[in-house]
Amino acid sequence: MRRTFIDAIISEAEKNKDIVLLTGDLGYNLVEKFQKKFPERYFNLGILEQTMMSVASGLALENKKVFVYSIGNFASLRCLEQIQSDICNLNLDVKIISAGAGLEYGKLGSSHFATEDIACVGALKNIEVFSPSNKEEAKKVAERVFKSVTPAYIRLNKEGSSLNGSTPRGTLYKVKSGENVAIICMGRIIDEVIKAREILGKEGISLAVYSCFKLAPCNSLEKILGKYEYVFTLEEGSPVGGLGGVVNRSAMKSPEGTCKVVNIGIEKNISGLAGERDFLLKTHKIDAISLAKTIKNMLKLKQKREKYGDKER
Amino acid sequence: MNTIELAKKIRKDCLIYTNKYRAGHIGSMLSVADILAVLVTRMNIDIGQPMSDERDKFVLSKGHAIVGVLSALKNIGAKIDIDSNYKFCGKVLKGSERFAKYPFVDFYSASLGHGIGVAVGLAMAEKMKNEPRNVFVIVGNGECNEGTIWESMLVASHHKLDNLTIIVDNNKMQAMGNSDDILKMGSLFDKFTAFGGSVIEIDGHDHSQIARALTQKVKGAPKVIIANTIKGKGVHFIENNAYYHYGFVEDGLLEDAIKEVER
Repeated sequence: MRRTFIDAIISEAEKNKDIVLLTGDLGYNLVEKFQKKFPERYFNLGILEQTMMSVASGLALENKKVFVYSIGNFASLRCLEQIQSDICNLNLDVKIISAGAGLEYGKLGSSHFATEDIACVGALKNIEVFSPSNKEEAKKVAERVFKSVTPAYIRLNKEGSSLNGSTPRGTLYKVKSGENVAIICMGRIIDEVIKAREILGKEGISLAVYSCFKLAPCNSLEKILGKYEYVFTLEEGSPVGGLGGVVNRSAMKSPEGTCKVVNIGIEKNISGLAGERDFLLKTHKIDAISLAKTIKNMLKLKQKREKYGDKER
Repeated sequence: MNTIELAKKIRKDCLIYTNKYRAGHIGSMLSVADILAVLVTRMNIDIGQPMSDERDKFVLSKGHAIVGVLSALKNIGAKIDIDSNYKFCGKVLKGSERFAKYPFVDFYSASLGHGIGVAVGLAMAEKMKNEPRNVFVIVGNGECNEGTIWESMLVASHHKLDNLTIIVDNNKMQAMGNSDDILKMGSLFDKFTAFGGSVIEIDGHDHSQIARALTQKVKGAPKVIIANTIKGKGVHFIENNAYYHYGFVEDGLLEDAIKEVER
């Protein structure tokens, strides 16, 4: 998925001579193709993310279209104030590509868990936040950011989802049908959801699955909230300020107001851990089996409440 | 108008506007006034063409002195409403944020340590053009505490940005007092040299020294001018007085202060 995105930048850079790529000494075996084709528009600035964001601002002030490449936390938390003051406040054409979404670089330990990046960057003004789940979504994000002239944060996994083969219709769209219960998820974590849906299907729970790759309220979100009794949200990161937060706010505004929203994500990542993404998904209880359990328990609780009413509580 | 007269006007404006809006940072404005007076007259800009991209670029990294810049530009003919700097935030000047885009000021920020990085980006973009323009950035000595200043210097040196001039308003004070008491920086000349700059050290209140430093040619490295200044220069009770970092001159003292800078 990362390669798809960089390739898209390369072909766009053939047409748009103002495109510049900055990297904070990351992207080995990925960005070299851009460097070879456009050496005068490629800069490995060194390991200095804060300065890199300021430099991006200066280039954008001179009407360049700047892509900045780094890893999760380093492209967000490390230089948050530079992103805020030098880029977002001035509404400049800087696109931040953040590699290693969520727990992807888990083997490197909790310094590399990018679980609060979306919450922090998403709170800044003027910036669009994207987190695609597959190559098709990544292509759509690329098309959008090539056209836009304002800041964007693009969170990318190395590989895209293997189970979501659908072509996106809008930034929030249905991947699998279901009744009564739906889940909206962002990013590659959708694979776990599709597996959880199968487990739940065997137990008679029909789960609709939606993929969302832009962190923003939209019309289709309101429709979904009006259609289902229960809507779960899932993200490989903090739901505070993330997708969960966006859906909650829309649900509160929804005129029907009957839909119950439950946020699933990584509320607090576990420090001192390191390991493969699959292992970390399990420990943070967002793997397919844990998800199926969480959803089932929540629905059971609902049935109990319906049966016994307030007495149970 | 000669630069000596211009510097007097800048100092007077700074005293008046900070008093009018009960806003701070008069000390920082007075220390940089002479540098600004010489710089705006030496920069390659057409004062009637604020929208033109074919001009030298300017960044104020010590953004709390923005009123000095606005006054300098206004006094050489730019259309600038200094009041607007304060009115955007009600009646209190923060001085630290880009409330509006001012002509000829490409970037300013008083979140410290941002300016050289942005100026490096501007200088790199200029280098991509057929006729690269110069980029000037003014930083304070206090903000040299920030690591980003030194990161940015490395990038400027590595990319041989000889169209970039960094002017350090070295008034040897910062928010809470004397810099040497707060965080010893040692020799800024040696440090900027070690980070690859082509460094010139001058008296930042001597207009001919400022002018000479600005016109001196350098090749293959960013130019750094360490301008040794006095915080609050021009008004005896403001000079080297930490109170006036955040302060302004009260009504009762204003008239005397103006008289002193006009002398």
